Order: sequence, then structure tokens, then C-alpha cells
Amino acid sequence: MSAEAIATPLTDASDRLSRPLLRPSKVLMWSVLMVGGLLMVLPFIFMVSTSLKFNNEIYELSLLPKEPTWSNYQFLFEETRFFRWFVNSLIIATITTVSVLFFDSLVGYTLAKFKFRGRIFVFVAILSTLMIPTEMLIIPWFLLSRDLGWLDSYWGIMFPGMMTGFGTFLMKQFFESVPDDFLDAARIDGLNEFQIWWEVAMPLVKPALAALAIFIFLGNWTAFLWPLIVTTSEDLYTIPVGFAAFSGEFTTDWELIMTGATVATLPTLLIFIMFQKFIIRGVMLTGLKG
Amino acid sequence: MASVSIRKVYKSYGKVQVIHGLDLEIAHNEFVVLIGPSGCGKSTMLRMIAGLEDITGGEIHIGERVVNNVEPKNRNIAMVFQNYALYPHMTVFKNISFGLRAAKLPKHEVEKKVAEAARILGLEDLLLRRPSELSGGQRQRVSMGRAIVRDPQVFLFDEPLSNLDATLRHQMRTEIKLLHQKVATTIVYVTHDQIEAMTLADRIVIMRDGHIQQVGKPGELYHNPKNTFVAGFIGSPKMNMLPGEARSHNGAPHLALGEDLLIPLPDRGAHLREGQRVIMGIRPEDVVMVNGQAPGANSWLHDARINVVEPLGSESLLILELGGQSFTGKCAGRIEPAAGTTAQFALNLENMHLFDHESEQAIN
Ligand SMILES: Nc1ncnc2c1ncn2[C@@H]1O[C@H](COP(=O)(O)OP(=O)(O)OP(=O)(O)O)[C@@H](O)[C@H]1O
Ligand SMILES: [Mg+2]
Repeated sequence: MSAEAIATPLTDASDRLSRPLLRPSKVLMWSVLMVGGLLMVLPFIFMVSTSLKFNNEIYELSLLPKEPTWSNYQFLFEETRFFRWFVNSLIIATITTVSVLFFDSLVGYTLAKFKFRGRIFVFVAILSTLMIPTEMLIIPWFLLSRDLGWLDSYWGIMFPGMMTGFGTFLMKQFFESVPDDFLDAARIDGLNEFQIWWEVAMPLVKPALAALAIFIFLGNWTAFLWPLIVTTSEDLYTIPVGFAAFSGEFTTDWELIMTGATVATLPTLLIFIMFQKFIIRGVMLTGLKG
Repeated sequence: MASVSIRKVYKSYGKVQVIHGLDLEIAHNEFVVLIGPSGCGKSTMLRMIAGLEDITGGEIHIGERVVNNVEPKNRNIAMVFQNYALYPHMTVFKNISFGLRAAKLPKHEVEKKVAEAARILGLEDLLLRRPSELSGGQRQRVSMGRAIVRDPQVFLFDEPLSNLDATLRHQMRTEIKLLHQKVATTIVYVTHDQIEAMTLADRIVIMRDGHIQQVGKPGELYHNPKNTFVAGFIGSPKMNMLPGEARSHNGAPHLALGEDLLIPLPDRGAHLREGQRVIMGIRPEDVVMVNGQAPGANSWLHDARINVVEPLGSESLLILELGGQSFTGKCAGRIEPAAGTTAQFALNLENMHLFDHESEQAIN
């Protein structure tokens, strides 16, 4: 609107009122956005609708189930260990996310704000871990877990993801944009270095923390390969590993998978909504004036 | 209240030495301004006093105490930063009280101190705002508030006004001066704005490349610069500085500038050797257009061509060609001479400065 006001500074209010409400360019823009949005949510809608269908209807591409039913949900929670897997996933994703946020930002901060011998070396070493694909690490991880007795345990599932090179790198970059004067001011105010990190630097990189949290939580929530390999007892399965069991050699219980997926989406949705607010507020807050 | 004494202080970053054995005594309650070109080590010096930077060699005393190994928070200092360094996620109240709360002061005492600081700085109505909702001047006041509540023995300012526009800078300058009168403390103030230095300082310290060039009262530096650097640095517009040669003419000592200009030397220059090369300095206000009224008794008159006129209102700056040399001179604002015309100028030679050509030190 302001752009228009600048472009046509002479049009007065009455002129603006007589203008048609829907101008072609606006209509076009909204249409394109709506189609795009629909395409995005379509799989989601299919997932929800399939979860409400009976088994014999699942290959029909109807959006509305003929006879909506909660039976899949009932079956999922009563006859399978889905609830347990859900809790497992929640515990694992939450702990790894908190751990990553804590350690990655601590290391990133140290690398960004302190000069010490070997700093570059440490940084390059951390960066270089980004270049090793997970598939290559699975065997060493497995051998390590076997020798240390971590197989088939929460810790076994979580330990590779408790710190990440990516997060460290990301946080280092963000902490570098925090002016040193903030930290110096806090030093004079009498905070110790840990307090400075926690009370001054961390609030300033909230947007980065939020982005990293979403990223790490989703990554662990959907992690499949390593949890599959390291777990043997069904009680330790995470949601994706459990789902794999629904998909047998000859039949796949799509309606169950979709039901599970629907439930599994809820926490990610929640996390996203929660942290998205953070990201936007964070951007507004960081009104750093140079 | 405390004195600060800096004794033979060195600072190196790796192999590069940036402060070379600096000595400075700052008295109780004194307002000292460090000034110098970019990179001369002003901030480094200030940060060493604050304890934010290690001292490579020498000693810094605050009061009776050697503070080389004392943590910043225990040095009884407060610092105001150029970009204010206000925590954007905290309100003004929280920003000001941050240090007090970190020191676990009782709540009512924190509130009392913040209220007092807010009163001094006129921030009472802004305590619940965030820094992003403040103007530049208000932000700088908040960061001064944060310094005041610490009841420091020494205030350190690092270019606190350089992010403000000219009007606000002038206003804040006055406020800082008032602040110094209200809360009597020692102040060390870094700036590269010489007007700030002249107006605020009890004493000015001029630095260059990690060395002190001259320390003195503003007037002292202005009227008796020790070398060409100080002479050129203090004063705006800059002092005219021209290389010349001592030459006796009609039995009196003169100074030859270029081919065509021969200026009689004041008594101070009488001892110069024939042919000795010097740099002559004369401030623009001592090169004044003669316009009807009789020139001063010690003036030396010469015609000059006016090349450029820069009216400032109360006066005008004139870029002149005088005897083949370029000078900056002045005339009263109402005169309005036209560029390209020629007029007579009076040079007040009593105020002439003479510097040695090689060492660039003042010759007395
Ligand atoms: N952390 C550092 N590492 C290496 N050299 C530094 C560091 N900090 C400052 N220096 C160098 O020390 C010298 C003095 O810097 P300083 O910041 O004190 O200058 P300054 O007088 O405050 O300049 P300005 O007016 O630009 O703020 C400069 O040459 C600078 O390059
Ligand atoms: Mg500086």
C-alpha cells in the first residue's frame, strides 16, 4: 500500500474508494498462492483422510472417507506398541535437541568469541565431520556401541546426535554477529564468562537457536537408519522404526501407517508453531544498532 | 573518586606493538580526553584501563591499587561504548540494573539506584521500553545510566557520541559535562572529534601510533602545539603550515616562503641560522582580511587573491593565494568578498608558530 501511495501521490481518498476491490494482478497472485498452498497441504489431507478410512477403501483416491472411522486409531493405540514408540521418539528427539542446543551453542560461542591456540584447527576438525556421510559412520558407531554395551538402549540411539558439526558451525556464525561490546559491557557489569554466554549472548541468537531446534528435532523425529540398526527390542523402537514393521513383505497396512503418521505430525507441528513465533520475535528483538 | 596512573604501559598483539611505553597521570575528578587518528591506540588504552585487554608491560594504578591483574568488575570503573551495547532483549530498567542484579543487590536498593540514575538522565518515562524503541540520544543516556548506577570511581567513554547526528551530539556533549559536575568522578574519554575534546576536557592527550604527542589543557594545545602533528590535529579549519627558510633581509631576520614571499620573523625566530629550514604555522584567524578598519599593531600586511569563499554565517573562510603560497584566512561574515578579487590581508605574526623542518618539533 505504501508503495502505491508513493507511486501515485496525487490520488486522493475518493479516488481510492472508487477503485475496484479486486484488481486482476491481485486476483492472479492470490490464485497462484492458493494453488501452491493446496498442493502443499494435499498430501497432508490425504494422510488424515486415509487414517479415517477402512482398509478396503484406501486405494480409492477420495478425499473424504465414505464411512469415517476411528478404528485405525483405536487399533494403533490398543493393539500395537505405537504409544510406546511415540514416547520413545519424543524422549529421544527432545533430549538430543536440548543437548545440541546447549553444546553446539557453547562450542560455537567459544570458537566465535575466544582466541586460543588451536582454535582454527578445532574449527576445521568440526567442519570436516560435515563431509562424512552418515552411512559411512554407521559401522563405526555400531562397533563402538557394541564394545561399550550401548546397543539396544536410549543412549545408544541418541549418542551420535548429541552434538552436531552443523549446529556448531551455525551457532559460531551467529555468535560472530554479536558485537563484542555486549560481552565487554557484561564483563564490566560483573558477570562470569558462563553467565555472559547464557544471559547475554544466548538471548541474542534466539532466532538461530529456534531454527536449529526445529531442524534437529525433526531430524531425530524422522531418523530411521541408525535407530533401526541399534535397537532390537520392540520397546525401544522409535516411530519410523515401528512403522517399518507395518510394512510387511507382502502387505502394507497403509491405513495404519497413515494413522501413525497423523499422530506423529502433531508434535512436529507443535514444535514448529512454538519456535516459529520465536524466530519472528527474535528477528524483531535483535534491533542491534551499529 | 580515584586517580588513574599509567606507568610505562606497553601493549602488543602477537608481535605487533601498538602502545609503546605510555605514561600518563590522571588526577582525582579530572576529565581527560584521549584523541588521535584512527588506529593510534586510544581504544586499546581505554580497554586496558577497563581490564578488557591484558597489559603487556608496565603498570596501571587506579587509586592506590595496581590493577593489572584485577578483573574489570572489581576495578571500580564503568564504561560507555560507542554502539551503546544495550541488551536488546531487556527493558531500559533491566539494562540499567543488570550489573546490580548480577551483584545480587537487594531489590529496593536496585530500584532506588535506578530511579536516581533515571532522574539524573531524564529517563524516568522510558524505563519500561526496550532499546529498539528509543532514539539514539536516549540509548546513549541509558548506557550512561548503566554506568552511573555502578557508582564507579572512574568513567570510561569510548567515542560515545559518534553515532549521533550533529545536533544531538552537541546536546549530549553538554549533558556529559553536566553529568561530570553532578557525579564528581574521574573521566577518561576517547574521541576523534576535536571539538568534543576541546569542549569537554580538563586536559587533552593527543596520541599517534601508540605514542603520546602532547598532554595539556585545550588552550595550551591550541596555542602552543609541541609539533606539527598536534598543530595540524587541533583546530578547525587547520593551521596553515608552509615550509620556508630563514633569511636575513635588510639586517632583520625573515622567512622566505617559496620564491616570492618574504615574511619578517617575530623575536622568537631571531635566533634561526641563515638558511635554516623550518615549517611556519599560522592559524586562519591570524590571517584576516583588512576591510576598512585599522589592522592590529603587530600585523603584517600583504595583498592576496581570494580563490574560494566559504561563508559560515558569522564569518567566512577564504582560500587565498598570498605571495605564491596557499593560505586559509578569514573575514567577518558580513563582508562577503567575491571569489577572484584581490584584497589586503593582515597576518598576526606574533601568533606565528615555527617548527623544525626535520624533527617537526616546535622551535622556541
Ligand atoms: N584484537 C586486536 N588484534 C590485533 N590488533 C589489534 C587488535 N585490536 C586493535 N589492534 C590494533 O591496535 C591498534 C590500535 O587500535 P585501537 O582500536 O586502539 O585504535 P583507536 O585509536 O581506538 O582507533 P579508532 O579511532 O579507529 O577507534 C590498531 O593498529 C589496531 O589495528
Ligand atoms: Mg577506537
